[in-house]
Amino acid sequence: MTVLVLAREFDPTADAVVTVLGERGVPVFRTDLAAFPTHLRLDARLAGGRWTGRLWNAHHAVALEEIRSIWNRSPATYRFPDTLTAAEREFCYREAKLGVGGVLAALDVLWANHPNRCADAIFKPYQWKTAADCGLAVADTTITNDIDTARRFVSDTPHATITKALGPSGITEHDQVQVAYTRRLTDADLTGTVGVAATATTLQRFVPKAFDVRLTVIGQDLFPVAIHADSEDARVDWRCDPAALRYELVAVPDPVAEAIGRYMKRTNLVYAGFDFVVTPAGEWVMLEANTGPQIGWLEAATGAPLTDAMATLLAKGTT
Amino acid sequence: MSVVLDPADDDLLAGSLTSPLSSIEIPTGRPGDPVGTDTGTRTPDPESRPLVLRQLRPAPRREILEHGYDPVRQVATDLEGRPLLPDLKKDWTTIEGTHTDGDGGDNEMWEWEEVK
Repeated sequence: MTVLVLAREFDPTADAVVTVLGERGVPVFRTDLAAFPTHLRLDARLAGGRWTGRLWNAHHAVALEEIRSIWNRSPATYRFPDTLTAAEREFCYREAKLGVGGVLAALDVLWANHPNRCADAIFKPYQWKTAADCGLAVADTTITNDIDTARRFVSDTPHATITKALGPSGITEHDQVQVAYTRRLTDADLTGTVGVAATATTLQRFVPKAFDVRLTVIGQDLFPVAIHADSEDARVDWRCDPAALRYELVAVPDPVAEAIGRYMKRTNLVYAGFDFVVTPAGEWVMLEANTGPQIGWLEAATGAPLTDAMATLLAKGTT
Repeated sequence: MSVVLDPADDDLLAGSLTSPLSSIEIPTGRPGDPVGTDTGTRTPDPESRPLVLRQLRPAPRREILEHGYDPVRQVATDLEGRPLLPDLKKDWTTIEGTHTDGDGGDNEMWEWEEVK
């Protein structure tokens, strides 16, 4: 039984997990979806209500019925030759997605994580509601394009409110790639009416913070890592100042661990990266749950065996 | 030896919104005109700018080792064909982009990371 790893060719975390699987004698078939259709071949046959066949490239092959698990590790997308017209490439992309993705989706294997579960969970409003239903504390939030609603939420304490992007926060302007990190509102943000009205604007109570926690769930294993920020900006959003961060493994309170278990079950995820704020009073407030978290940086910083845990999860597969 | 990855690569801005596997896909714009990309010279109006975009910072832009890929061992290599992993301990190693950790979704951090 083989682990199918869908990852880009340069991905050190994937390399680490593939290496551990190899050391354990677990067969691995790794490919990037950008290899399809030029270097990756698919032969999928439906007979007797069951998909059989194989995936192969010049060096490896895997029978579809021999796949025990699939690691959906942020592969690049299908790549088509420039000899096709743009319309042809668009058509081919659609067919590749529905064909390759469709056959893989039809396999009764463990996905880490299933692409459609990831797609469901991309919506932060859904995450927050689900988390609350499962017993996790979440911050009060408003999503609005109405300035009066925004002003009521902010009241007279704009510095106790943050604004954040609900999705990818990078944009390219004037050929410069820039990132919008979570930040506190300023008095100037609500003096006009147009900014809030520009789109669905997310406002959230700033949660008093002792430290952040990135809690990685891999199967049944929890790896809660405290992130201590030594700069003011990083205390609001630790992503913006990596040099100012310190890490340590911490204990997760039992009620939080139990709520996370309920969240994972309800969302049908097998691994995730939860971001929490831990308040000075010790309350854990969930900010979000990422369905394709990076793990190598936390392992390097703390020694926590995340690579081994991921290899174990994938090797176990569907039981 | 190193290369600078171009942070304006196509799929940086797409991220999890355009998973090649999920049945759901949030359009990011017409081909060649992705949402979030403006190559024009118009200066943004500070008052109409979405709140979250008002304090942008340059995206991380790192160098990574020049590398190859060993299709037999299925891991990245240096240019001599040796697996990179042993040489990357404690190094900033990863990939590229504006699609940083915490953005949500299935492809949430093409940011740099360390691998033990």
